[in-house]
Amino acid sequence: MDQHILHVKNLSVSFNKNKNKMTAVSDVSLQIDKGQTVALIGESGSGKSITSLSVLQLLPPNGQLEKGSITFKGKDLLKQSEKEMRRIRGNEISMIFQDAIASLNPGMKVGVQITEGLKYHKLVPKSDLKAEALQLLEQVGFKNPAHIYEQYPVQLSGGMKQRILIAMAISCKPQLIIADEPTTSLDVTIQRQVLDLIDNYKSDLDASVLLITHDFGVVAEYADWVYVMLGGHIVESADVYTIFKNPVHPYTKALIESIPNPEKSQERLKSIQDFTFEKVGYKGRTFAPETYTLESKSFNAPSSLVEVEPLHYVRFYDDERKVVSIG
Amino acid sequence: MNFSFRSYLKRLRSTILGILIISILPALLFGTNTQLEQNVWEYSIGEIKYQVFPDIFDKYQYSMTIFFLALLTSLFAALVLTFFTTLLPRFLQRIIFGFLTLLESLPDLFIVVVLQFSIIYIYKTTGLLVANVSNVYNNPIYLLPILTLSILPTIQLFKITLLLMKEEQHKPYVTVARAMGLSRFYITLKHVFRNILTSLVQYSKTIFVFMLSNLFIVEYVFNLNGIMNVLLNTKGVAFMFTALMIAVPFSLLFEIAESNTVSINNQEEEDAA
Amino acid sequence: MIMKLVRQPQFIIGVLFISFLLFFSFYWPVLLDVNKQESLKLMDFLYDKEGRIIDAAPFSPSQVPPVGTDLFGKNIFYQVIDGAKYTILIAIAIACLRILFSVGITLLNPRSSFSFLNDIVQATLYIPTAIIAYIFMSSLLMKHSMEPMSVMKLIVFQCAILIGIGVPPLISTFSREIKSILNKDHITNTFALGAKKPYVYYRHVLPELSTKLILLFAQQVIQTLILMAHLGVLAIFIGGSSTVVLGDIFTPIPVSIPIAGEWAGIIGMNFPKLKAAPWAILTPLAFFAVSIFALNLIIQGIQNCLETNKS
Repeated sequence: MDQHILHVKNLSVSFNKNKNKMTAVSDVSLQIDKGQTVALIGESGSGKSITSLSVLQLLPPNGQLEKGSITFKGKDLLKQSEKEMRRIRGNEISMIFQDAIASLNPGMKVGVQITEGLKYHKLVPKSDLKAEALQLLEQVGFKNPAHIYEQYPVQLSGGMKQRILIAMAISCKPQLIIADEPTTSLDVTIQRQVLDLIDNYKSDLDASVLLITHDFGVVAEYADWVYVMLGGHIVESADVYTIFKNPVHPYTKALIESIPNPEKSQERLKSIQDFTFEKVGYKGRTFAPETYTLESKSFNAPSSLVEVEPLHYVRFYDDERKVVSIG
Repeated sequence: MNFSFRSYLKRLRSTILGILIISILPALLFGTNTQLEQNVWEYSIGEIKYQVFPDIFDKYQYSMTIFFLALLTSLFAALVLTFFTTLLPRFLQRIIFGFLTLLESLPDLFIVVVLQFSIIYIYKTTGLLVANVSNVYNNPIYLLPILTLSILPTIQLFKITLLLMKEEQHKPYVTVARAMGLSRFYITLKHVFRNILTSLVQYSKTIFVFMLSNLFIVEYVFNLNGIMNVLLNTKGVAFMFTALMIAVPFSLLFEIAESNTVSINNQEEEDAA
Repeated sequence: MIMKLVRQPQFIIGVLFISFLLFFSFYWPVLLDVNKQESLKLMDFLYDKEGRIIDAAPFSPSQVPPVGTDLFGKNIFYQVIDGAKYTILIAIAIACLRILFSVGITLLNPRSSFSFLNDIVQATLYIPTAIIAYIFMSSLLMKHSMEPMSVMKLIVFQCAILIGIGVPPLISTFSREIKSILNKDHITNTFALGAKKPYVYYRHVLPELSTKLILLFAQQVIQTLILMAHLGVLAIFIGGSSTVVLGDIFTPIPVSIPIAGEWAGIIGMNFPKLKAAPWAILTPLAFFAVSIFALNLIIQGIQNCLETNKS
């Protein structure tokens, strides 16, 4: 178990809103090994971001960690004191957020913001902060770091801001980077640049990355292992080759089918409604087409992950497990 | 900062026109006054006659001293209070917020009168004179008017900063800072407060206008020799002159504040686009 | 909107308080079982059981419960209760007319920028409203003293001043508001589909403006109340006043007695003798404060409603 750098086990998170309890993440388990990039893929609202925020214990005040454990390098993060958690945040686990535009303080020079973590954790003496900042800026690909150092966030473009955020995240040399949809708010042309930066950092320091995304194209390129999330559950998990070769869960299939394929350009691009929910009649799988409504009771019916082939897990309803067979 | 002198002149022209209209409108509506024989640069309160010049400059200085010291006091008090409130638990914050709405409802007149009386009462019962309640001969009083004038703006600023704080604390950059392991205290001090101060600029106009009106009541009730009393009692040209003495510098302040907020808004629009 | 408002506790408390105050003000002689004339009579001296004079007016709250009397020995509490209806109704009427006039004027020419009014609004920022009102009122009273007019006419003129002072800022608010509504996409759409102007104003602009109107109305009532209190201190009373000279021959103190019994009048009348009878001024002021608080609660309720509408 200790070979995993991060091990999330049976995590459940719920929110209280107007006295109603809403479960956002239920029974999620995932592991990240050293030097691995693990992708967590799913539509918006499926609980990806909440999972990542609970790792850092930065849930919004009305969010509640119901049960489960989060182990990072053998330490149970849920049992750490706030002070210890602050040391871990930034220092050992850092996070890149999706909304680069709003994620920087508009009233502070970006150069100063990058080194805030270093200054706070006292990793670098105060006199070296600026040099360190310039070096970080260069590392994330700025040609003229001294100029960028003096800029305010409003003066930079979206892609530049995202690179600043990456510089900030890697400033303390963490072993795990959680990248929460780092490319969503960016132009397609810059997406690659940003992801490469993260990937380079990973391979340089043999760190691990938890890549949260809804884009299977990105997953195919960068991830080693994939978790597919839907409605707060993990519905399928396997290494990246297995997932693409042999997806079992209808939702995974739908996601893969919706990647544009230049060779089949005559066909209409598949979207989730068109594809799964009318034609395919899977029985026995949670969120199988006929049950794909969040309101329906069967959505919450007991289900569990089943190993359909070595290291390939798919979620099925408990009472229909016998139907399972691999085509 | 994109202050333009031209737009200030435009604002000034509009202000001067407005003051002109206000000062001649009563005469137009209700006929001219019979006191034509009276000197324009002379006004009377009760039986005593006063000359506008040269006392007006002293009075102006006196009023502005009170005004800006009160402004600074309330700004400082509001920020300190906000800071300590954010350290309190959530339900207490809510109680404080409700209490502020209650306090905000108190008319300025009420606060002035109550403060005056409590000081007289303290004096009567304990013999301790906390502050002079009215001008003693030629020694103008400062402490009490400044305190009185600063109470309501403090409440308003406190409420605004609390609201801004709440808004600001949920912004993504705070989460980012927390994800870097910075403590709440540090973030509040270094990031949030800084940004609140800049957003306070856009409320400056409301606060200033409100405080000018309060200044008048404070001067009237405490019977201070300030600029507002001159404004109240003069007519025609002298009134216009006094009003302009207030309007010219203040409109400059408003112009600067507005040019700043406009630029902030523009930037936000650019971001959105 | 209305249904949602009814569910806002703050709104309900505010409305209930104001209506209770009005109701009480109209029927207090019946409710408290006292004679109106008797309890509002002048009482120069206070007698003990044997008929000896113990004190001269003003009487303190301990001598005449609950809150003492004014300079003439009139019971302040009953005066304030009786004056509530005038004060609140005048304030509501003035606020209402301000809103009506300004919406009307704005709708006459919604695209105009009213530059003339804008000048006035700019100037009013630097001159407290009470001073502007005082300038107008004192000119009016000057005229009144030279060629007396009927009380009714005077009240109408005074109300016109109070209304007129509030209109220019409101017009600039409304024209800004209406312009922003007219610039919205769905309005352009409606025009593109061939709608007539009156139709668009009636069907689209006014409904969108309506919640804002209620909000502004409540704010205007508060502003009017405060303005009335300030004018009271400046000894300007709605309905005019008669001057009575108090004090002895050597130190005459002229005191203006308001003709109508509203709160501002009570404040203004007792203001020269502030130090002798603080309760006579604090009581109506406290009532002002509480009424304004009730109105603020109403505003809060409306704002809560608007926020939930948005989200």
